[in-house]
Formats: sequence, C-alpha cells, structure tokens
Amino acid sequence: MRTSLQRLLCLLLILLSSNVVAQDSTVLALKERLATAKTDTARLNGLVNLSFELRDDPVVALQYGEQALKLAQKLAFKSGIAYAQLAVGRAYINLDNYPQAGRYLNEAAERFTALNDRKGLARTLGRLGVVKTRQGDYAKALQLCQQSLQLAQADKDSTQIGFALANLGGLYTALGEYDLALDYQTTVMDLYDRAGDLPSICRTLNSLGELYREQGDPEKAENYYDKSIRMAEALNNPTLKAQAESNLAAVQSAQGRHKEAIETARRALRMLLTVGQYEVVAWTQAVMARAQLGINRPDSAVYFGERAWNLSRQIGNRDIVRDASKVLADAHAQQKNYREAYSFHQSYVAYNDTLLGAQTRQQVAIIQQTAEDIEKQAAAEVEIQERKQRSLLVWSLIAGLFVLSLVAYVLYRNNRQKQRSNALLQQQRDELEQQRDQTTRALTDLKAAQTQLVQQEKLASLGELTAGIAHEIQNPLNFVNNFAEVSTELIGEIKEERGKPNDKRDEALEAELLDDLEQNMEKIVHHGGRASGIVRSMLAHSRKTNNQKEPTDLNALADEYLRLAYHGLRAKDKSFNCTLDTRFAPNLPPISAVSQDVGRVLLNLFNNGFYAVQQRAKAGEETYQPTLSVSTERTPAGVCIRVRDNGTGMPDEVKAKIFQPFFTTKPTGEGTGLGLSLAYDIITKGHGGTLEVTSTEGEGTEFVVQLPV
Amino acid sequence: MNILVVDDETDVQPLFEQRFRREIRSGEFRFTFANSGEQALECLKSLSSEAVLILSDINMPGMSGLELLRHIKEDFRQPPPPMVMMITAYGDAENYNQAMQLGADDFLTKPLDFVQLKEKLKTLD
Repeated sequence: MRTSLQRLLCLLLILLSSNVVAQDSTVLALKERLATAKTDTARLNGLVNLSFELRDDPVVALQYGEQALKLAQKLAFKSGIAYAQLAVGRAYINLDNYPQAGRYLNEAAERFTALNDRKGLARTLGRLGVVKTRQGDYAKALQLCQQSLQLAQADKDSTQIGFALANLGGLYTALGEYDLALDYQTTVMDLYDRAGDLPSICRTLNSLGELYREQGDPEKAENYYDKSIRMAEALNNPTLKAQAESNLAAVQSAQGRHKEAIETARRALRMLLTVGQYEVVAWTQAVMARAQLGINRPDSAVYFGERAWNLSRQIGNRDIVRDASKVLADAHAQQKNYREAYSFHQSYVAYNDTLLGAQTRQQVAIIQQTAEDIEKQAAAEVEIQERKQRSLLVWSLIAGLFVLSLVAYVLYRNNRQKQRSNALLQQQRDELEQQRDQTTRALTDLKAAQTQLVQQEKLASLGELTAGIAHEIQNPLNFVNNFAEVSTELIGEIKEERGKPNDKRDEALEAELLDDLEQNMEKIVHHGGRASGIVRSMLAHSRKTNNQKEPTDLNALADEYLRLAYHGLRAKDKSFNCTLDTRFAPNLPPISAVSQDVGRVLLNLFNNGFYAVQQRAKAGEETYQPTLSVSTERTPAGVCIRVRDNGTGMPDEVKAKIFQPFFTTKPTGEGTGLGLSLAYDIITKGHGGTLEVTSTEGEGTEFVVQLPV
Repeated sequence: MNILVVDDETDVQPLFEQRFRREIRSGEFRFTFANSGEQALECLKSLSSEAVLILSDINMPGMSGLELLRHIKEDFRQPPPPMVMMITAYGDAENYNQAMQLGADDFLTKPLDFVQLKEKLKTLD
C-alpha cells in the first residue's frame, strides 16, 4: 500500500495543475451546456449533473438539485424526478441535514425501484447508507450499503462499488471492526487507484487515518491525514483538506500537542465554515475545545465547546454532543463553575449511555444480523450442498434406476425373445407336426387314391378291352361250335357207313372220317383253351399285380394285346379301321417281366396309337390310310418294341407332358390321364427299361420301349 | 366252282373243308385258302381264270379285307369279274356301306351260318 500510495503521489504531482483546471473546466463546461440547452430534458440533465459535480459546494448543489426537481415535476418526467431527488438528497447529506436527505432519498429509492433503474437505486441506497451511518443507525446503514454494493456489482458500476465499499469501511471503523474496515479501505484504494480518481483517493486516505485514530494508533493516523491533506492541497480542494485537518487536529490533541492541534483546527474551521460543512465544523470545534483545555484555557474551551454542543445538537450528531458535553463539563470544572460542570457531566453521561447503549444495541444487532446472514449463507450453502447432494443422489438414483431398468429391460427382452422364440419354435414344431400329420394323411390318402386310380385305370382299360375280349372269345367259340357241329355230322356219317353191309362199306372213308373227327376234337380243345386263355388274361389284367417276374415272350404278349386293343376299339366304333403292321423279330429271347404290367403298357401304347389315327381319320383326308406299326427287335442290352402310328402326332408342349399323371388330351371322361404315367413307371421303375417318345405333328408318333433281358 | 377263302384264322380251312366235304368230294366246289390279303392277291394272280368267288374276312392284320376288295375290283377286271363276299364279326352299317361301295357282292356276319352260305353258293352256281 505504501508503494501504491507513493506512486499515486508522484502521479498526483505530475497531474496537479491540469487536474485542478480539469475540475473547474468540467463545472464550467456543464454550466455553459446548461445555458445553451434548448430542450427541457437537456436542461434537466444539465442541472442534475451540475448538482452532482458540485459535491464540495453543497449549497449551490442543493440549488441546482431543487431547480432540476421542479423542472422534472413540471415535465412529469419520472426518471428525471428520481435523479433530481437523488441530487437534492445528496446535497442535504453534504449540508448535514439528514432528515431532509433521508426524505428525498427514500422517495428517489421508491421511484428507482418502480422504474427498475438499478444504477439509480444503487446510488440512492448508498447515500441512504451514509445518512443512516451519520445518524448512528449502523445496522440499517450496513444493510443499505450492502444492498447498494450488490446492485452496483450487478451493474458493474465501478464508481458506485467504490462508494459503497468506502462507506462499509467507514461503518466497520465506527463499529470497531478495524480488520474488516482495513480490508474494505484497501480494496477501495486499489479501485480508485485503477480508476485514477484522485479526490476519492484523498477521501480514502482520510478514512484510513480515521481508522487508525479510532484503533488507537495516532502515528499511523497522522501519517494518513498528512497524505490526505497534501493530496487535497495538490487537488486544490480546500474542503477535503479541511476535513483531514480537523481529524489531524484531534490526533495532535490526543498526543498532547495541543498548540499544533489548535493551529490545525483553526485552519480547518476557517475553511469549513465557508463551505458550510457544519458537522465537521462542530466536530472541529469540539476538538478545538479539548485542545484549548489542554493548554489551560478553559474559557476558550467553553467557547468552542458551547458552539460545538449547540451546532451538534442542531445537526443531531450525538457523538459530538457527547464529546462537547465532556469538554464543557471539564472546562466548567476547571473554572470551578461546578453547577455547569455537573449539568454538562449529566449531559455527557446521558449521551454516553445513549451512545454506548445504542452502540451496544447496534453491535448486537449487527452481530445478530451478521450471524443471521452467515447462518442464512451457511444454510443456503448447506442447502445448495444438500441440493447438490440430493440432486447427485437423485441423479445417481435415476442413473442407477436407468441402468437397472435397462438391464431389466434387456433381460426382459431377452427373456421375452427367448419365450417368443420358444413359443415360435413350439408353434413351428406344432405346425411342422401338424403338417407332417397332414402330409402323412395326405400321403396315405394319396396312396389310397393312387391305388384306386390305378385300379380305375385298370378297370377303364378293361372296359376298353371288354369288347375286344368278347370278340376274341367269339372267334374260338365259333370254332368250338362249328367243329362240334361238324363232328356230330361226321359221327352220323360214320354210323351211316357202319350200318351198310360189309361189302358196301367204304373202309377208307370211315378212316378218313375218324381222322377228321379226331382232328376236330383237337380243334375244339385248342379253341376252347384259347377262349380260356383270353378269359384268364382278362382276369389277370384286372387282378392286382403280384410283381412276380416270369420269362415272357414279348412277341406273343404284343400280339395278344394288339388284338385286344384293336377289337376293343372296333367294338366301340364299328367304323374304325386301321392297318396293323406287325413285324415281330423271330427268335426273340424271353424277357424277365411281369407280363400283366408290360401287357398293360403295350395296351396303352396301342390304344393311344389307335386313338391318334382315329382322330386324324375323322379329319377326312381322302387318301389317308390309318396304320399302326408294331415291331420288335433284339438289341445289345435286351429287346426293343416300337409302336408307331401315322396319326395326328403331337406338339412339343403336349409331348413334354404326356408322362405326367392326369395329363390327357382326350375329352373329359374319356381318359384317366394315368395310362402313360403308369406305363412310364412300369417300364422304368418296374423293369429297369426306358420309354421314349418321338412325334411330329401331323405325321405320327413313335413309342420305343427298351427292356433288359 | 372255285372259291377263295381269305382269313387270318388258319383253322378256317379245316372247318370249311369239313363243312363242305360232300361238295368237295363231289367236285362241286373247289376251295383255296389264304391267311392274309397279300396272300389272297398272290393266289388270284395264279388262278385268275378259275377264280369265281372270294370269301374274305375284313379284320385282318396287314391288308384288311376291304383293301383287298378294292384291289380285286381294280386289278381283276377281265371277264368274268370275281364275286366277292365280305365276312365280318362287326356287322355295322359303316362296314357294310363301305364294302358295298367298294363293290362287294354280299356281306356276311360271323358266326357263319354254313347252311345259309351253302344255299347262297348253290344259287350262284
């Protein structure tokens, strides 16, 4: 602080002359602007600013402030009224008229609050704090100063921050909280140092002096007063100088340097009386009285003491009244004027009691308030902490809950998924089982249907065969009948010959007849057997296959079924005619086959061939000769039978489907669509052979059956 | 009278020979037998002048009876043209009409009534 002060003083010396000019020029400029102000608002601002600027000339400042207030009221300009009231209140403070100052400042504070003008309110509350400090209501002052400081800090109003801090410093000094007071004053000093606000630094130096004087360190106090006085001289500010001198006088007097004190006090009083700083005047007169008493001049002491007493009572500064009372009591006592002395002593005791009581009460109040504040702050901090902890706890809980619910959800979902998959699996399994059952049932049904269909197919082909069979039976039966009839005739003839006399008998004829008869018997047996064979094969055809493979003569089988097929068709359509071209290879080796099955295949192929030629014949080609060619041949692997017709042939799309079950080109009801499909199965699966087809539309079709031996 | 019997059933021959044994023995009828249409045409060529009556089955493998009939009517026109009687198990109108259209002289159905056939042949004779 010392270095900072020295630096300030150096700076001060450099700026000295210009600064004095600057202060005066500021006031002059303001006055000039006020004189040339064209609008009422500009004039109002000018008046307020002038009032503020003239803080060391409170009488003039009050005049400007009152003018401003009148103008603002005339204009009904709310903000203007508030600032004018602030200016007036401030002027009253400097005039030591605290009740008036309090009235104006309270009104200003209300207006600023209503206007939500924080800057104005901060300044007003700060001044109210000063008022309360001067009136000795430190508790209230403290509250106001702190409010002002908070507002100023919120508003970043450095001037007002400094003002509030300085006030607080003074307050703590008055309350005996010297450490706190020093903190505040040091802070204020740094603030003003940065701002280069020399008059404020000067006042702060004076305040520091007061601090040390109250603390009981007169040397330090004197040092600061000296600095303040020199700075005030440099700033050409006699008021500030006088204020510091009045305090310096008190210190000098307290140190027993009464004469110095009287000189100092006289200088101060001279100046103070001209500027009307009556409180300081009263204070200085009391100091003067004490100093006069110190040099054993009780009458002078009474003189200054009485003036101080009267003035301080008038102002309402009880501190000074008390001090003045004490000096007067002592002075009157020295003059042996005991009556007066007693009276002032009584006054002193009363004021002292009041002041001490008041001080005690205020201290208690402040301690209480401070304690409350601390408590409140602590509570607030605790609450904040608790809230933090609570919120931390809550957040932790929420986070925990979240994590838990997440885990739970994941588990639940997994479980659900598992359950669902299980259910799905179960369902799928059930469905599969059901499908399997259905499929099994369907298969069983299909097998039954197939068996039935195969049976139907057999019956159908049997039906087709019936006529053929009937015809085939008819032929041997004719022979049987005819040979039997002829035989009867022959027997009659033989009897006739034997009835003749021996010489007329023709032995040779008899022998011939008997030979014929014998031959006829053979024919009857042969044709009877033939008929039996046809019936047998018919039955075999419709009977269920026993799958017994036997050596089979393919030529005979083909011949038999060709006849059956042909005559069967003829029986249905008597107009049908077809050239049968059979070329059976001689010496064909017997094949191992289920003859009924292969027979059925051949029957089917023949029937298809006949159907094809029949269809083409119906188309009415003139030179068309329906022909069905059946040939057998030996192949390296076995035997081969070709069934070729010159019928309608078939397109490729039909050819591609003919081996499919239920595919038929015949009109509905005429074919089962199973014939070729069964034929294919019989040849390929049943006998390890092949069944192939080649066809040209409009020319004919050839089926080739290859069978292993 | 020369009679050519055409039938794929070979036992037709002993049957006819026995049925007509009196007529054969007396020399009234002379029978020749063929087992197919092709064979019948060969026979006709060899005994063209003698052939008088042809009895043919219609349903035979290879050349059918009707086909044979057409050949006969077309190829053997020199006088006297042979008489042709068609025999079939299927006495339907279609076959009958077709046979008549082709110039068949008669149309007989199986089973053959030999008594009736004899009478017909005797009236021709």
